[in-house]
Amino acid sequence: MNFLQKTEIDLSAAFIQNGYVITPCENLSALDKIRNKTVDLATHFLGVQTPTNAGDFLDKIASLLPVEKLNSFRLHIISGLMAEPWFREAYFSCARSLVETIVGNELVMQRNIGLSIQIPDDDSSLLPIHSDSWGSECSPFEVVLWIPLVDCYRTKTMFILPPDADARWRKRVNEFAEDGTESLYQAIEPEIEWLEVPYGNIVLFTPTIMHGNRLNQESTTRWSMNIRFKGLFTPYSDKRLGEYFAPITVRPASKIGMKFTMPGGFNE
Amino acid sequence: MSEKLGYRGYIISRPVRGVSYPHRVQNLVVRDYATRHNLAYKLSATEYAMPGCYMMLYDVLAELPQLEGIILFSLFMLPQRTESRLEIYDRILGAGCELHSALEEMVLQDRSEIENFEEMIQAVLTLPNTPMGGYYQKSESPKLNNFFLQALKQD
Repeated sequence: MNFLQKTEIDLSAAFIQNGYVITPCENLSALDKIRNKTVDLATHFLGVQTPTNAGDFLDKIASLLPVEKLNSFRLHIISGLMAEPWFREAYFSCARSLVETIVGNELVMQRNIGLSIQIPDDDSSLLPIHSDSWGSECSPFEVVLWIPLVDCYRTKTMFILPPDADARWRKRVNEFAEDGTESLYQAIEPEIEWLEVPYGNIVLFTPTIMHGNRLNQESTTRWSMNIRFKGLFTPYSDKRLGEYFAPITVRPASKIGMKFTMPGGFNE
Repeated sequence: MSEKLGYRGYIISRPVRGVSYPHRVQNLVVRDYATRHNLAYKLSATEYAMPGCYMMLYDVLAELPQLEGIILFSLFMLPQRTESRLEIYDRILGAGCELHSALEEMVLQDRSEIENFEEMIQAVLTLPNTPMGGYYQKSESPKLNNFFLQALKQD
């Protein structure tokens, strides 16, 4: 039995076949607000004037930012965004209906945010090929909402290994046990897919498939954010409900069920 | 009336949600939380190891008139019985204090926030009744977790 609507069926099929969905942001004003706040935090850190073009400023940040300050700059922006009470709800609103279609409508959301700032030719922020389910503390029931703040393409974006290829290569990962992740990457490279995501679009992907990034060989800087979502009552791994995930849409039937107690006091 | 000064840390000598955290790690988490939130940290009270024992917590509650609040290492150190937790929230808020949980980055400053605390606790307590017991086991055997017992056997 399947009572999903046609649009849900199509999205679900695409997600399972490709491992991801790229769609226009559902709340562009929220995304603009996030990007403008990011720019405010960046200008504050750098001691420069607010630019007239936010995207252009972020694209060309390398001319203002020494690489050795990159991590403190990144942490400054993350803590500034997390301090905004509206931030997490705004982020969710960028893809709320898509997340609800792919995951469900009773959700938990990662407490923190991941922020990638990949300056051209900088090798200090690389993420070697991995699957979050076997390369991290993640549950395979999680999805990642990945949102770029600039146009992302070619080596300025992330790559994924499509699910069919991932299933084949996953069985062979042990063959690279003594060679490291770079040799695994070289082996799968002909089959990877670089996600082209213009600003104003979002990616929802399953981090069970292999993915990562490479040296940004484009002329401008990659800026992207990522936050995980999963069903409240789906299995967790060591990123636990509480310290890592927080409930965001608990439904009334669950509230009642969680508090329910059976009548007691009966004896055989 | 005496002046309220600082936030008392509260750590524990027994596992939290099945994990034993060294006191040093618990204190690091509490102190880091206090620093990041600009809270004046006061040396942590350390709960006894006996399951179900909250004697140290009740000592801290008696100290509330002199405190701005309490910083728990984790929300899940609170008593499992809902009535006990509600009484604790009541005493803390009634004394004009705050309750923070460092690991979960949550704060209770007024009664409207009790639901957030309770919802989190209730959801975690419900997980064992969900598919796969709420936990995705990545290893086929528990050998990753019992290295200490294996080391003992080799002696």
